[in-house]
Amino acid sequence: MGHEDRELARRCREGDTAAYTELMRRHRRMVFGIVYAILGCPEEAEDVAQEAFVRAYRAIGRYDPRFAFATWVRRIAVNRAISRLKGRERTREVERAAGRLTVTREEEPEEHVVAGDLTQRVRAAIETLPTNQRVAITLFGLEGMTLAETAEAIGCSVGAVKSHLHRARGKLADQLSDHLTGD
Amino acid sequence: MDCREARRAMDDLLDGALMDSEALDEHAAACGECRGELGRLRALDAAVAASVAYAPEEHGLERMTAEVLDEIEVRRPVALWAKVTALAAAAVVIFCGGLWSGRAAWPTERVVERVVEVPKVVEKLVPVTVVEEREVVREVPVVRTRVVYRDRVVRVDATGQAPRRHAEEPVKAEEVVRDLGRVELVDAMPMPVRIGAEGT
Repeated sequence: MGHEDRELARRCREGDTAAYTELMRRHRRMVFGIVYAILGCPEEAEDVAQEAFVRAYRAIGRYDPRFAFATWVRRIAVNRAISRLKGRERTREVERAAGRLTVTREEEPEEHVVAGDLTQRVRAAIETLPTNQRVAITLFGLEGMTLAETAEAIGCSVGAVKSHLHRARGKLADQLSDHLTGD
Repeated sequence: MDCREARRAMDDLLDGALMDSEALDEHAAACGECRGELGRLRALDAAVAASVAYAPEEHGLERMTAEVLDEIEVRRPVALWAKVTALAAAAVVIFCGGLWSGRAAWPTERVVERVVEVPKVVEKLVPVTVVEEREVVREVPVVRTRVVYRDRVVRVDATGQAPRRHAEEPVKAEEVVRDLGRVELVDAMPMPVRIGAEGT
């Protein structure tokens, strides 16, 4: 698969959109999954995944075939998702400053942890985490993602990812202590 | 292993970085608090994994793929030679299509020739030269002044200054007039003239 991806990427550089279509079919589910994990909204995930693939096409000349295409496009997808997250936070800050939002970030867990199953509560609690911790815990939570792959996707060290995970777990455990039962 | 070490080992276990969990398992078996904490963290990790998992529908992915292709195709710069070739090819196709379909497919026209006399209007541009004569009369005052000073004629130029006498400063005409009492204008020809005090 890796060798075939490299060959398809080479043809893309020559303007072969059919080759790029094939690359998208191979990796779109993974890209969508990553973006959804970070953003938590399917519609937004589709927009951002589309954005990531367009960017990857435009930057195909900079793709280094020594690395797997999946790793490269995953990094682009994570960056786009983080950018969208930060845009959302900026909008909330502006609205808060304009007086249109009356609750503070600290009050949000109580506002947003609605009745429902644990998955929904966890998703709501994840929304309250700082960006780095949120991205680390959601990416690592994806099936098959290792510490090294998470670090590579985010663009930081393994040690930094471990630190983000430790802090994120601590905060989530505090917020959801009433809903988590040990074995 | 103490509780602090166990807590650190729990993180490694959940990160997939714990090579050997035997020591942790033994501590958890003996310590109820750490056993409970380990259980909560495992439940949390499982809940996080469940919350981030999403299986998109195939038609949604196809739609996304089509939109990406639309965007990259629209913005892809097309070389001028490619555009010209495409236009030429289109023109050839249209022309050949017309020929192939046969003249019967073309509408027939009946042309009637009629001679129409169109009045001929010729405009000739003739340059016209207009001569305008104007008489310009310029009056230039000519002042000739000849002052006779005693028995010598001192010619005074237009500035009113007389030439120097005896290397002295030139005498102005009005000073000469004062001295003489009167000035008689004569023509430019130098002529010795005697003028009395009262004038004769």
